[in-house]
Amino acid sequence: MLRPRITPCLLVHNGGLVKTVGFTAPRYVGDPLNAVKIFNEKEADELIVLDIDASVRGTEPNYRLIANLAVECRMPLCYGGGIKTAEQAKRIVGLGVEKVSISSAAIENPTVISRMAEEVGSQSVIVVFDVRRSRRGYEVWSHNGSRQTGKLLDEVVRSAESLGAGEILVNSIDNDGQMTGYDLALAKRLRELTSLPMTVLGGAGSVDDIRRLIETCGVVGAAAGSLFVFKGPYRAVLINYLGPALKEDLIRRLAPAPVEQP
Amino acid sequence: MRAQLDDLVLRRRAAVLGVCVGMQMLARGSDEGKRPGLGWIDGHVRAFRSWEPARRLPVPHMGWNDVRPTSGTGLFRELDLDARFYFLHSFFFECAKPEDVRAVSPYGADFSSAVGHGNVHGVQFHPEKSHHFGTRLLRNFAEL
Repeated sequence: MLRPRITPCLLVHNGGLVKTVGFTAPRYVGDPLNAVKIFNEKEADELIVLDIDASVRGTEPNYRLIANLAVECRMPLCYGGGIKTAEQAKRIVGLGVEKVSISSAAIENPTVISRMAEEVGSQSVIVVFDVRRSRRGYEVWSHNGSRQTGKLLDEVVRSAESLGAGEILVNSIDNDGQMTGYDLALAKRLRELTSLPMTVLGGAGSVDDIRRLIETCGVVGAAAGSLFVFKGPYRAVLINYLGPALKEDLIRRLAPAPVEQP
Repeated sequence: MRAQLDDLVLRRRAAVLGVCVGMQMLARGSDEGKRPGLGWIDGHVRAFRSWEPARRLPVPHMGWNDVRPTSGTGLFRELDLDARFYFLHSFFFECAKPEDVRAVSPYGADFSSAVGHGNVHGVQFHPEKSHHFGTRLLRNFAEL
């Protein structure tokens, strides 16, 4: 049975890991390589690392950091931040990263999705959309939620799929850091919009939130930042992950009845 | 280079492990390209999109899935119960000879997630990204 993925998402800012609320107020939570080592030990399903400075500052991806992360990481790694061209994507995949994610570039210049898919294969091209709720629906923002693109989620998801994206990740700016649960209406909308694998980020504060997302969407990526870097009501920094028994329990509840073997 | 590889693998019988698209390269050919593969294992690589059982499922097939080996020996020593590995692919290996299938995984129906013939082995999943399951498999390969 293909399993839902439970995926820590780490944000890199000024070389350290941070966690934001509503895409602002970054709080330092630790060292990227150290966090990867901890998630190796915890056997996380996969890991997403997003450099939140590169696109905003217009800098190149930090290849040295990416190479170090990829060498250390014994789980699949998705890297995003500052990637604008197929050549950059190829270089990053060459460093041992399974997936590259693009956001701003995919919105400004959607054909880059096709060029990347040709260069590294569709399966490695993740398109990330940061969205805010509005009366028009889910509006797509770029550059860490600082620029309104004027586009709605529906149109950009369909376009990304037809251009060869391998996965869509949707990130709720409204719910970022709130730890009050995913925007399930958003998750449901995305499931209706695309037949690609999908991942939802923004709002997870408990294992029950993950359970509700999986119940809503089936086999899905449940990504979370705060949940896996904070502990307790005062949000003390503590890198953590679901224990194997808890994770198995969560998955087993959702598993279809086993088919009898002849 | 091709002649040297053939010499190493077919005549001197060096153990080889193809991973993901590396496994697909072991086939005679692929829906993904026009040029022939290495042809070290008899079979053809097909797109999930053109395979009826998986036609309605999300492609790429991506995430952790069960791997059921045909035998708990060789590459799959101590991996015959409850083994899971990470997959990320849109194409899969269709073996011409059933005995070359070394493990299957379910996606719509069972597909070959590991193949083998003599000293040539291939796995569709990523052992290097599959935590202790992958470490075990790579150790098994080193000890073959």
